[in-house]
Amino acid sequence: MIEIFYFILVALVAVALGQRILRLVGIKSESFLERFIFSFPLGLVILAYTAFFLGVTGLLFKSIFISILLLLFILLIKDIIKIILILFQFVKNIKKTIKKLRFNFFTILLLFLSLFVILNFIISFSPPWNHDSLAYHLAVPKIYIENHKIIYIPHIFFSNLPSLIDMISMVGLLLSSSILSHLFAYALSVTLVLAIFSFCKNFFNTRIAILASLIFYSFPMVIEFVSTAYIDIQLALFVFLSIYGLFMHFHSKKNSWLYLSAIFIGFAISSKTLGVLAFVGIIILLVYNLFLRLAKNKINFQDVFFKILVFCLIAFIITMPWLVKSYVFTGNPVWPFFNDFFGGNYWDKEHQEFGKNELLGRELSIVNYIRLPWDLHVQIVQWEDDFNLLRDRNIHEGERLGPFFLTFLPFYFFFRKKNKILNALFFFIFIYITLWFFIANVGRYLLYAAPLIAVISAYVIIELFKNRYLSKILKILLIFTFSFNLIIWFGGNTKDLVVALGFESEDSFYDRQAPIYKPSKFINSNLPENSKILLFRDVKGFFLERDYVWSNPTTQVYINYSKYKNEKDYYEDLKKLGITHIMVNNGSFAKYREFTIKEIRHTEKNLNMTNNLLEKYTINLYNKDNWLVNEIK
Amino acid sequence: MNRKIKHKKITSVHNDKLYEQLKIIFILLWILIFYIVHYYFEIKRYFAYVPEHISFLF
Repeated sequence: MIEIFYFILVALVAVALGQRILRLVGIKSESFLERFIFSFPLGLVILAYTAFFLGVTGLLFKSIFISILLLLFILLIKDIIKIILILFQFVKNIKKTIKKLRFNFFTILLLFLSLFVILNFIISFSPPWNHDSLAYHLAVPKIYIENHKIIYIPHIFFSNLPSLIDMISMVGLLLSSSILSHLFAYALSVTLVLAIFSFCKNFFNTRIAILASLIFYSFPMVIEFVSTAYIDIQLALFVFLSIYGLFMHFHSKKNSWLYLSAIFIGFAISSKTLGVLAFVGIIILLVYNLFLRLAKNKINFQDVFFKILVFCLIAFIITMPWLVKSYVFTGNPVWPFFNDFFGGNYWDKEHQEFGKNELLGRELSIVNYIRLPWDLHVQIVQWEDDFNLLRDRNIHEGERLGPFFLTFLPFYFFFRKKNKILNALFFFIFIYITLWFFIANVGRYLLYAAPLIAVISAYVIIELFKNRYLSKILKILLIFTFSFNLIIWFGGNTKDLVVALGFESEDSFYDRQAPIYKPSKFINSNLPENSKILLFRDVKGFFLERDYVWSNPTTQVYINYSKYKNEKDYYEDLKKLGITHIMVNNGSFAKYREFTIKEIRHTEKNLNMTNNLLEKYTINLYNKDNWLVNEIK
Repeated sequence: MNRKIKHKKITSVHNDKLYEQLKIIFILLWILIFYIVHYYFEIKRYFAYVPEHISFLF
């Protein structure tokens, strides 16, 4: 398969490139694993930024990107040969280790881990179908590739936010297909597992390392997004590597690790606005540590100032391209925030307020805050129902972090011996969950705290293993949990597995998973090349090979419904914007699992106005399975 | 005097053992209760959603 060839090429170049940068920064690590977990994402992000800058300059062509890749391959050939030799040696060592392995509890854990790694690799080959992937994670890079340029898309809200990980997906799309993007996402998820392993092996021991890696990789929330073009696991990787670098700095006192920590938190902010929350946690801990050392006269005030300044500066420089892009396109570097102050385009107070409430999704009260650990433990999603029912729910919806949160974490406070690293991890969890509660109460947005929860849980469990009786019972419970997570995996991912293994055609898969595929195909084969489609009550434009515009009234003001008095105004504005056709999703919002969906996006007035517009000003071309494609007269 | 000390020591060892046993029972109960509560919700939700997701296989 061509995707595997490209994947190997990009991965080798990325690791070699990343290792060069690590050497430049001054990182010297004896462990290949440690070098790998930092160098691979670092190299991949540099390639993503290369694609980004090609896009900015209007040179986003496959031929140019491949030329750069081959040039890097030739320049780094010595390093690449070394990496290949190390990998061969690694495989040989694994064979030897497997022969020596004795059957015990940790061998079972390794088997579980291997199973998840293999299964997730297979489903990387399934076509993309998740809502956000088809709406913007893949759809926006596809628009950039079609235009060979990063262009301003005022009607796709998310295209104007920092989206570094989407640029990694864009490399996949540019070179081959969305499957290559999935393979990158998969590889970064495995890198996170290896990072957790390496972190625990470094600061604790191998048993904690194996258990923590498996706990994280089998979290239902991770199972849901692994091998998709969602960005949450990659964000968690960047945040975790930043924390890892920070602890290495605390441990070794070497500034190079601090720079590396700043680089990765910069990547996190460049990936998702919520990366700023992760930055807040890390900077607080850094400042605390520096002042502690200052109080002990180990460093002077100048050092404190210099370190904080350099850390913030590096993170800022890495985030800079996104701020500039946002400023050039919208007039506001931090769009859509502080839009009144900057006077940015295509956004207003009303939409900002709606977005804020939608993210909160839950009443801010002390009672709700106090019961948060309980809610996270039992994974209640009632407060998300109104919000989530508007989306294509997956089986995993509501599945979060397994039983670890309240079952194991509290025991740490009863241990006599406290560990400084775990204290800091608890601090991060506290800060992240608190900020998450007050800013963006959506389960998935907590994923970057998941590796920390996995590490603490593993530590606590291994401590409890010291008692013989507890050890036996805990092992049984843990095997039950990992088996149940495997059942969750199959329940949610069988549909991807079947198509990835070739037992189902892509058409039949999409009929079920993304019904917009069929009408999009109709448009691609029947409408003129210069058509411009208005997507009504749907935003998944990934399959379209024509220009299109989102009409979702809550995330854009490009089509500003509040301006229209009647269908005539609406019609005239669409004409002015050059829109030639309307695609209407007439069904998926109507009923969902016996609930009648509240149409909170479109008001009654919008719906009536659109109905009248369809009646008076359009001709129907396609009408199947609740999907309409109409031509505007 | 010696007998008193010996008696104290025996009582203290006994108390330590009792304390350890109570601790283990407490930990075990805590773990089991939170496990059961978690999986009560998890299994309920899983079987509410799963038929719809794998129905295409049958």
